[in-house]
Amino acid sequence: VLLAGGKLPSVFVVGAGLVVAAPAGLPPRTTRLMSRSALLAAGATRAALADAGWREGLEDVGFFMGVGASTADLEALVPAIAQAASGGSFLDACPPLHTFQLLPSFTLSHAAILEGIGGPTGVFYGDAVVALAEAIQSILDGDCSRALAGAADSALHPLAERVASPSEGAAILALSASPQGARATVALEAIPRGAFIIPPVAGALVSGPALAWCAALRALAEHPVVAVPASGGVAVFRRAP
Amino acid sequence: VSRAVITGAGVVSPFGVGLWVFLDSLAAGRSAIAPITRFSTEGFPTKVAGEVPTVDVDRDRKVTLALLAAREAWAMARCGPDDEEQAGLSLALGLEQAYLEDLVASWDGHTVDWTSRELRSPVDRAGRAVARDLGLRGPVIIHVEACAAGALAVAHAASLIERGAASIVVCGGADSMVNPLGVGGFSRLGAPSPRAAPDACRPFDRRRDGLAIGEGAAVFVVEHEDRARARGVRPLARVAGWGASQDAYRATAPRPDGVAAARAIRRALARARLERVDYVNAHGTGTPLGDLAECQAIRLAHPAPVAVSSIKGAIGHLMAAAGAVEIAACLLALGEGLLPGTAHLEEPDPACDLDLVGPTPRRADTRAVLSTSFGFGGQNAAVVLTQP
Repeated sequence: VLLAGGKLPSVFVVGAGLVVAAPAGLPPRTTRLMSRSALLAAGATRAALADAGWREGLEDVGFFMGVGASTADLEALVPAIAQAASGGSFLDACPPLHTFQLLPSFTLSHAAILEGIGGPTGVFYGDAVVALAEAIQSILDGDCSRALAGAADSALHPLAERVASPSEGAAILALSASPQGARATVALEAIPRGAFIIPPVAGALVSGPALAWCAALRALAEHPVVAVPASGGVAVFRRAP
Repeated sequence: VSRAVITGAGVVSPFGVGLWVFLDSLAAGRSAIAPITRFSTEGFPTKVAGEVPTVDVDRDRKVTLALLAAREAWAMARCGPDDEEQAGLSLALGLEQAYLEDLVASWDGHTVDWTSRELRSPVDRAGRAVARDLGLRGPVIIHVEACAAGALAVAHAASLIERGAASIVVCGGADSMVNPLGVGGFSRLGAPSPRAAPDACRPFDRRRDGLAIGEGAAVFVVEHEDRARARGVRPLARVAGWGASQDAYRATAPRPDGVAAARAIRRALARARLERVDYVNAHGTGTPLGDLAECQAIRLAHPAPVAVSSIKGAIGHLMAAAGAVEIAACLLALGEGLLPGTAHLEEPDPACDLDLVGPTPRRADTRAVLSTSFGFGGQNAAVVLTQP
């Protein structure tokens, strides 16, 4: 539909951040609260902002992410579970910081707090493509003129290792309503009924589509149009004018 | 103006099962905060909560609560096989990604058996269960924006309708943290009131000292008004506007000046093309910092005098479900002209100088209402409902 008619709305990719390992250089006082997914997200967000050259006015930048289950710190619950199973004092063993580490939304929140990103927001379990669609829609609706969209996840925890290859990573695109500095235009194909499939059990797969988006940007050097299919739809990247 | 309307609503709350059980209880000014019965609170500083009574739970409360609310909403909207084919799902889900009950069951005496099938507890479990139960075949979108998720799920549904991506969406939120992990974690953070009393949560009161944890669900059927009219279904309300923002402040506290939260409210009002509403159903958790920040946000975004109340004193903080259940509470204001009261608000905090509705519900001609939700980690959401 997009290629034939070119009628679908699109926005411009002006930067990208990609990390496959937890970054260094983040404030220790903050990172002690962060799950591994949040660390990855923070690194990719910082890289995307630098790549786009966005330094000011970040309180109006939208931020939309697909996230996994953020279970990297489940082992921290083991002492509490042991207490609960044995009838002991659960509270004494309950990790006080578990809320910050286990909440999937904190994968985004920590990065927003570190960088001062305060625009419209959305966090979606297992679905990077919905995050991209909502970022585009937020720009088209005028809620913001710039937005970040991407995903982060870690599959290095006990649950994900059973269902996916051990891996982790995060990728964030910087999207703008303005073509200035654009590397590509991106449009999400209108989501047809039935195009969605239920996300896989392994939340670790979430970051896959977002990582592919970064590869698509590179592929645009050789191809004018690159489509990246994923469970939630199809993102179509075109070489910027 | 948005063409997305609510044609069905289902609620499971600490008052019981059913939308009208919930609304009638609010209209009567009841409170459901009571001693926790589900587990021993010995050693816990928190001993009261808003528990859903008399519900047979299979294994996971979130799934059960979501299913009960979804079935009621689906039936109220008089949906049939054609709707099943078309309906998508936008659901807010619980804060925990894994369930304590599962983890304890997988304890083998030395460590957790991570290979146990019982641990297959993805966040989308309740969403998939609702889609399967109702036979929905559209997209499934799971919101995980902490305590703002319920409101954002409803907003997302309205957005999908408005931009033509869907014609009918089942949306809402379900959550329960009334278990040792939830209560223990929040207690270690010092969020709940330390008082083991029915008035543990006193939003906007000078003596407020924390929240009460609650559980429940609210699910709505949202569809295009033309579609509802063609089916002969009378809408309950219009989802007229919505907005979101991020505090970008601290992981542990709301931004005290309310500036970011005010941005979400302004976006919702702008989308609804309104400058003022007749009533604000506030997030109003009863925490000293949270209520003050919210008052600041309301004053900034809505300078005109407006009646404000919070239902969290009556049912507790339903976490990911809070925004959805509070949108359901707004149906009392729009449908019956009755503003829910703020249970246990006896001594209004002078710093919260808004037109606060006290414990007794207030009669008012209400054409537009605003519901606010502010999530842990700085996620802000606002939804405007109007008469259909």
